[in-house]
Amino acid sequence: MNGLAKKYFSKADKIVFLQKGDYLFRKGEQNNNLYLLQSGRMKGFDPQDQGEFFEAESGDFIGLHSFFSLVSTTRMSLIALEDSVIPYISKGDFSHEDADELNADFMPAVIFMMLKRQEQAHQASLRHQKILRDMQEVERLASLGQLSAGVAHELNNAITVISRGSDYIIQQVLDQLKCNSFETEMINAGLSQGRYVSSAEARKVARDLKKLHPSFSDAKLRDYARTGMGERLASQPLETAQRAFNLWNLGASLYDLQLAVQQSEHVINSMRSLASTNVIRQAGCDINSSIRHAVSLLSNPLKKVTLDLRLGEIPTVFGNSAELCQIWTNIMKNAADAMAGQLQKDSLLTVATDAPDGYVRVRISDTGPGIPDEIIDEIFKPHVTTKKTGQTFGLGLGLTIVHKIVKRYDGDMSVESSPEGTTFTVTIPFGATL
Amino acid sequence: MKKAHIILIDDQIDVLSALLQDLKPFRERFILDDCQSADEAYELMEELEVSGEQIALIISDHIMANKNGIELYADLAHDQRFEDVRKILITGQASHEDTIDAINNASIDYYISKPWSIEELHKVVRKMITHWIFDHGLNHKDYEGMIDTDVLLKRSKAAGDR
Repeated sequence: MNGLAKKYFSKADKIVFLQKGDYLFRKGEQNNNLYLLQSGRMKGFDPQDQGEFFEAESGDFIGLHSFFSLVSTTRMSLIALEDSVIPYISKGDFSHEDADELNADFMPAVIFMMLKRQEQAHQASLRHQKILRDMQEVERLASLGQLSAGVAHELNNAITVISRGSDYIIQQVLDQLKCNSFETEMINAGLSQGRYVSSAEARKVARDLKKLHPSFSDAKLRDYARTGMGERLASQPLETAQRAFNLWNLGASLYDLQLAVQQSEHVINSMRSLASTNVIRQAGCDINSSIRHAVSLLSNPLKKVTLDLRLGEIPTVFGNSAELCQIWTNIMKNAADAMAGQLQKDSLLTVATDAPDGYVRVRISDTGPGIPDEIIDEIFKPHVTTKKTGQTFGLGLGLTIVHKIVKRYDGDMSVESSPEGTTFTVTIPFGATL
Repeated sequence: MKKAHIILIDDQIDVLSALLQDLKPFRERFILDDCQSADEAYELMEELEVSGEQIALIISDHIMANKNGIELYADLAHDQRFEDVRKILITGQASHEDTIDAINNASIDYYISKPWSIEELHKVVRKMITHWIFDHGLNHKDYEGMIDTDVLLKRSKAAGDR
């Protein structure tokens, strides 16, 4: 390129000086010049077709098409993006004899420019396709949102009935059954703690009990063991023990019912936020308290996890607590699920809040197995999930919901992950630009 | 008469309890063992095998935290010790591929989808028990109330034809 520049473009009197915003030429003009962009930046575009354009940087030739082809009409308009210095040569400078030498000298440059333009066009096409895909995705989410809203609404009614009904049943059971203090203790134990004895543990305790009470049936001893008060029950008279177990089981079943209701409510809430919301946001929203609320909603999944809350001094934001709460519940539930059952390291969930610079920053870290490299770029998209268990949402929508909500707050979200664990960072600006 | 075992597997203890409760009528002739994972169940099965206990039937959930039900059943299909144990898979969410895999590689005997009805569950369990009884040349009269008459007729006829 330098050789060509020296050979053809060093005439001091054939230079165009452009200021930013000036046109070199417009589309459809007669052009008999070949320009070399010595310094500056130019943009070539078709005023009728917004999609087509290219950028020229220093060292690029401009006007190659019109100079070397039969058609000397410009295909694009050329405008200076920065102040530019553009030496040029004209067709008129050359005679017939010079033609061969000229062609030979510029051939590589012409080919290079053509390839470059082709590549730029290809990239533009790819960008265009991606935009189309994103739009389709948005449409899909929108209809998914509508569907979810409908489903959520229907389910809500049913869940309300179940929830109120089971609370009522619990009340009535405690009031109506004439229980002595031991029996009341048994029902309450089931009701408040549920089935906390694992199947393996119950089997082991039952085996031990069998040694002390060989005449009792295996099945009975297993039942007693499941309450966590096996020895106590085994030392009661048969009828007392049987009734006590039945009452414990009743309490535990009601506990299970409440758990199922909580889970359903979580699912419905998450689905609701997929739809466009009519959420009322206000000033004075405390992110720390929405985090505490999330922790209480997840009391069950978080049972086997060590929780470290480091909630700093943060200002309130303009927002809706329930809406923000969904961000935390979805991320924390993911974390709890990721660490579920891991034995080789501790299950630690850390939530830290601070306000470094005009926004509230929430960092949620777990000590799970991390997110595989292959999917980490996709995790905010719908239907991407590492979860196969039926215990979780499993639709792969949790993080999509989170992302949607964060965007509504004009906030930001990022994730770091390694086999040691994963950290999600969410930032929410203080301000009211909603 | 020594009771054979029915093993129940689900990683969610509330669902496991529901299964236990629903299968209580079978406690008369079988020992119900609840397990919260495929690994726990396999370990238990090995213990039982060593002590000469019989395992008639396994009812397992499909989707579980670590090894899932189909994977467990595939392992069992290749384990000579447990070839004759009847296998039921319970699933709340299964794709075509899962079904094909279950049938081809895991030779499950029956599929039940969640939520199950107690009648359906009992019917399937009775079928499986009846098959197991004939597989082991046991007397079906010892298992009154737990026999499926269709299976009884089919298997009796087959036995008689030989």
